[in-house]
Amino acid sequence: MRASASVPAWADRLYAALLRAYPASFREEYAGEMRAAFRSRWREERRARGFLGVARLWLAVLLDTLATAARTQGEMLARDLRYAWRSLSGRPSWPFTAAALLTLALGIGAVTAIFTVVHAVLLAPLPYREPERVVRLKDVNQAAGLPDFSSSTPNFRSWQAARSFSHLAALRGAGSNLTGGGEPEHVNGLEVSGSFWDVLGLAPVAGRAFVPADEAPGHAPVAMISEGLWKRRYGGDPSLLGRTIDVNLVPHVVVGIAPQDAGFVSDVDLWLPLHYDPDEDEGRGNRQLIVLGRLAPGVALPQAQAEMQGMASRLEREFPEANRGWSVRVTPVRDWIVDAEVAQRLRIILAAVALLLLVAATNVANLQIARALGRLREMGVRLALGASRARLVRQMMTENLLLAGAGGAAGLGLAWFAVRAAGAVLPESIPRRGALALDLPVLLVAVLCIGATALLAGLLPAGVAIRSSVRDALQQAGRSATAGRSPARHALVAAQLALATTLVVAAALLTQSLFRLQRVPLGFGDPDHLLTAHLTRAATDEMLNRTRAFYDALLEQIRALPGVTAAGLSSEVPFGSNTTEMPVVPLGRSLDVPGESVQANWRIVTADFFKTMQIPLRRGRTFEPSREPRFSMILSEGLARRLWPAGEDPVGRQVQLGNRKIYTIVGVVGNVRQLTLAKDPTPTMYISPSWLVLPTMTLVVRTSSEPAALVQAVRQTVTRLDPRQPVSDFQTMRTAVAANAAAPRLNTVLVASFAGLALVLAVVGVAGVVGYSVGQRTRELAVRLALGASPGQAVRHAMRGSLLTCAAGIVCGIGAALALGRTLAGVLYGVGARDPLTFLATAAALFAAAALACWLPARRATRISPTLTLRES
Amino acid sequence: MRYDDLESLLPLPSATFHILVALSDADRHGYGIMQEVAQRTGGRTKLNPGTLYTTIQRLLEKGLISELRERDEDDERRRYYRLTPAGRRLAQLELARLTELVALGRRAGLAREKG
Repeated sequence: MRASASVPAWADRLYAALLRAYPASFREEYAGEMRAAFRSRWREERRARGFLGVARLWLAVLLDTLATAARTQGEMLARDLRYAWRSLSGRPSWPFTAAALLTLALGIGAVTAIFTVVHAVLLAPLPYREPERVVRLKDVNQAAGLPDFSSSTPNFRSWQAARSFSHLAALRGAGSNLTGGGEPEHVNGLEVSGSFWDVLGLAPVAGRAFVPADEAPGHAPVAMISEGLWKRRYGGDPSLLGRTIDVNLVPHVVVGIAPQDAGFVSDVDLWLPLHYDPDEDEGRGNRQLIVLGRLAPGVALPQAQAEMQGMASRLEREFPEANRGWSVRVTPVRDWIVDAEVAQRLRIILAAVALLLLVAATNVANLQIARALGRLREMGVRLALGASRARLVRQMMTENLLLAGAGGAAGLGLAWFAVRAAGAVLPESIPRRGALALDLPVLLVAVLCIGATALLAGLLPAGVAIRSSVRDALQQAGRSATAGRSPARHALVAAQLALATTLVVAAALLTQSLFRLQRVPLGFGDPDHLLTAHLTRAATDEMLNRTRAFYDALLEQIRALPGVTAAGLSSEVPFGSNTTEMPVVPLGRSLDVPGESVQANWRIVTADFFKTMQIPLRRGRTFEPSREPRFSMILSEGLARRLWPAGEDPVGRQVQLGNRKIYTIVGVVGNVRQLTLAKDPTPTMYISPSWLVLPTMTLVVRTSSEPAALVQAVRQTVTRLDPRQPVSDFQTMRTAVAANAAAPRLNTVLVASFAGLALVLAVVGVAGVVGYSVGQRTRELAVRLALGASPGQAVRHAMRGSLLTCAAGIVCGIGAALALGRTLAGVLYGVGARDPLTFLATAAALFAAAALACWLPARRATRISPTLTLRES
Repeated sequence: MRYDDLESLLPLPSATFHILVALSDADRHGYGIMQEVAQRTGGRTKLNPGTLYTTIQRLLEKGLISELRERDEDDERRRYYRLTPAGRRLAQLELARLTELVALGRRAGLAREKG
């Protein structure tokens, strides 16, 4: 017989650790006995069967523990949930429950909806193969203040020697007309170089992508069309592949169907090869191409940047005329797709909605404390009956989890609706809005928020309840003098007000900014009666005269339409989607000396353009219809002042442009905001279409009546002149201006509604705490009244502590808003991020609201009857 | 637990039945129940501590056994458990159910096959 073995300490400890799988209350009761039983079994098995027996025992005990612990935990959870449900839906609690649920649903719903957008735009991987290896190469000219510019074809060809990239590709816009087989139609198009699809790693839906041979001179024209266009215009017919379609009246063979979502665009329907003829000199200074690259395996972005830096310096020395002052920056492709301002706006909205959720959670915590204080007796009794504190905390946490879970589920439902609606509401300036989805990462974050909210809203109330109920059980004095003063609740109210203050300040700043943005002078007359539309037409040298004749006839016929007062054409109108720029200097000064030249927009406009837009003439004349000399130019006032700062009269003087051509100034017109409301009017030069027309021109029509009523007549006029000519994108200038302010408006509306909600929650929180405290201090106030205090004094006394708390919260909120100023500064227009007036006004308004929230419940103090109250107690 | 409701607990998990049987002739502490069950089944059934104590907890909650906090000579932490009348009744109900099953099998002639 073996000696009776004692149980090694590690085995005992291991078993004790295993027991942690059981609920704490079960452990407290049975762990000791279970360990003793285990030790006995261990000794028995060791004696009878040796190590094999011990091993079998461990296995059996492990399985047994897992099974029974899971069951016990499940039973306890079910019991807690049942209890929580009864307690939450019971009579005294249901208004609280409803309020908390609503608060949580709104908070979680808003956070989830906003995060869905942030995720789709900023975080979700782009639909490329290894998207992090796709980069953009942009031209940068610091001296000219151009941090983000396109590149020229010759430079792009030179860059292809770079070893940091496995592929480089270039693209440029090529809006085109589709004719034949249905109505003539204008579609968004892009010309892309042969390796474009390799750079992105995107595969065509059907057929093939372009190969370098497609762009060789003399190659038969080919095209890819988007999946959307394929289905819409061609019924998804697979036999379209290999057949021809007419693009700008030229037959092109369809070689492939492109995915609709190309990551950086989803509204491009036509893809054409970027034709390249090495014999043709395109001009190294003519920067029109967007260049994308795929980093070669093993190459990191800084290495690529270093190589391109070297290459740019070499090209600058080799071709100083075109490249002086220009360098190249390599950036992640997402920085190009999502511009910094959009990203910043999204971050601000996300921060605002997170603050709102915090306020909501704080509010629920506050409600929970109020409710817990009302249940002190119940808790005290349960503690006295031997329930453990851990058990009570667990139960309260279960309640919160149930509450947050239900509120969260409702919130997810709200978010689902919001996300479905978002596609229509989100401004076009937000990229990737087609990729919105309540997908797994979003749901995970939502669940995390729900859990955090439950924790936040549950722990503090549980702590307060336990502490108070112990005291209550001990003192047996249900209403002690201190019962009304709950420091935890005051702290919560202060935190809530602080958060709400920060949000309200941000909302006030954004609202002022939006207000100012919408009142900036545009530089042209009444945008409500300006109708614009796009016409794309062949404009090669051999076609130029015919194209000009078409436009002349068109303008003449449109002017004759009833309701039209003027009509003109421009290569680009204000608040359009594109811009064309070139450096310019007064003749005699050097284009190549940084600081001498001015980077200016250039526009081709017909004689009547200024009259149509109602842009005032300041000096000289506007263009002569049809007999304007080739190299006449009209300047914007701002540009004239920058070129001749001493104030000389520019009329009759000459300027040289970046393409070395020389123009004579014939007039000066008022400044116009060309691109965005927030940017000051850009320097602009206008040239006459006498020798140049761009493929896509914008028709501008000034109407005396409702512009929408003229759309049909204009369309018919175009069709009458040329049945194969589409005209597209009709809109009023008002719509274009409004679209430009859409992002700031949405931003402001969202932050303001979050701030409003937060404020309501905070005020309700304040009122709740003050009301409760007055209720609790009835006796004390009655004594004061009995001792001769006036009702006013009693009210003031009831309010004093709360008002101090509110003031502290507001001061903290103002401090936080000051600290956050820099984040907001980038999206504000015409108002400082630390505008003292806004801060003061917000603080005063919030304090007034808080004071009201204190005063309303405190008034109850005046209705206390000292004799009745004191007799009752 | 009311007597009418006892039926709803049938059939009993075998561990529960073993515990009730082990307590049918004497009050025992937890480890005592374990030993008794092992002894009665000739060592074929050994209750693990997890099963034993979670079952004890459930039986206590339902009022089928009760807890005696008597001082034990060797170890004062040990609590003794006693079958309540309801617990005894439950064990009888389960026994009747099992007997019926056995009779059923016998009538079908299944018992002979064994021999």
